[in-house]
Amino acid sequence: MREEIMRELQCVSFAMDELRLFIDTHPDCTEAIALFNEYAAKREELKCRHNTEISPLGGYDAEESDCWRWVDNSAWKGGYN
Amino acid sequence: MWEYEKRLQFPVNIKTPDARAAKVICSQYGGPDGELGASLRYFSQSYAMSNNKVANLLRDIATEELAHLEMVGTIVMQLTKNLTIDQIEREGFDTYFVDHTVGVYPQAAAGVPYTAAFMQSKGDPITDLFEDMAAEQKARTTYDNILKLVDNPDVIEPIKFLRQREVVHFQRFGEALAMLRDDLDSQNFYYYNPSFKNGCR
Repeated sequence: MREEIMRELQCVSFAMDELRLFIDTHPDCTEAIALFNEYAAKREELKCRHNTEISPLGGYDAEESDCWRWVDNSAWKGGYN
Repeated sequence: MWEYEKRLQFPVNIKTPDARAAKVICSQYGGPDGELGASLRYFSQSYAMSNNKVANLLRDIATEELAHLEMVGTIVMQLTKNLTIDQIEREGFDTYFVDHTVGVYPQAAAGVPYTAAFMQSKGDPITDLFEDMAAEQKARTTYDNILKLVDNPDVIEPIKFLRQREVVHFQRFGEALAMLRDDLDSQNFYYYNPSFKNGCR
């Protein structure tokens, strides 16, 4: 489950990374902006799931349990063991 | 200010250590055309960038480069995990090992430590953007060379991703250069430095 949420987060976030740079140099492309917003909504959902079911994804995300799970997440090391 | 997210931009999951590959890939961590230099270059240049949209693009790309630095560090870490002393010697990793054990250190493949002399922040927007486009191409060539030297699909996939990002950034910087030229005297783009107008006419 953890792997599945992370994979989806990576896909949606990457789509936004790509669109962000594209819109930076094409600020009048409303189609791209609409797509960016569509992915942003999807990402928000996934982020909420990650925060509740696994651990806070970002440093400003609330700890949704009474444990400090922030330091248990080393997803930056890659892989899932 | 940054908000850090605990995830990689693209998955890295290498199951077999390979010291030889680690030794060449570490160049994209702290080598002449590596991700550290890229991030620091665009971030530093953004301060003197006269066109506000381009300055913001520099920040966005600098941020993505930090995520690439994280990926390259992860690749090096996974490639050097559980190596035996025998493998370290046989695969030519001993010269790195003696100074850094299997810690991740910013250096070029041949051992030159990261230095800001690898990059420039010239304070002239056109000059800086040309440097940036060249930097993306140099990094792309380095990834092409890495792809000639590695054969493990677990390593090839994230390296191919990073190579592709160099191509996209090159394209975006090219568009940024066109935006910048629109702000300037089309008869002579170098008539003055838009970031240092006083005394330059």
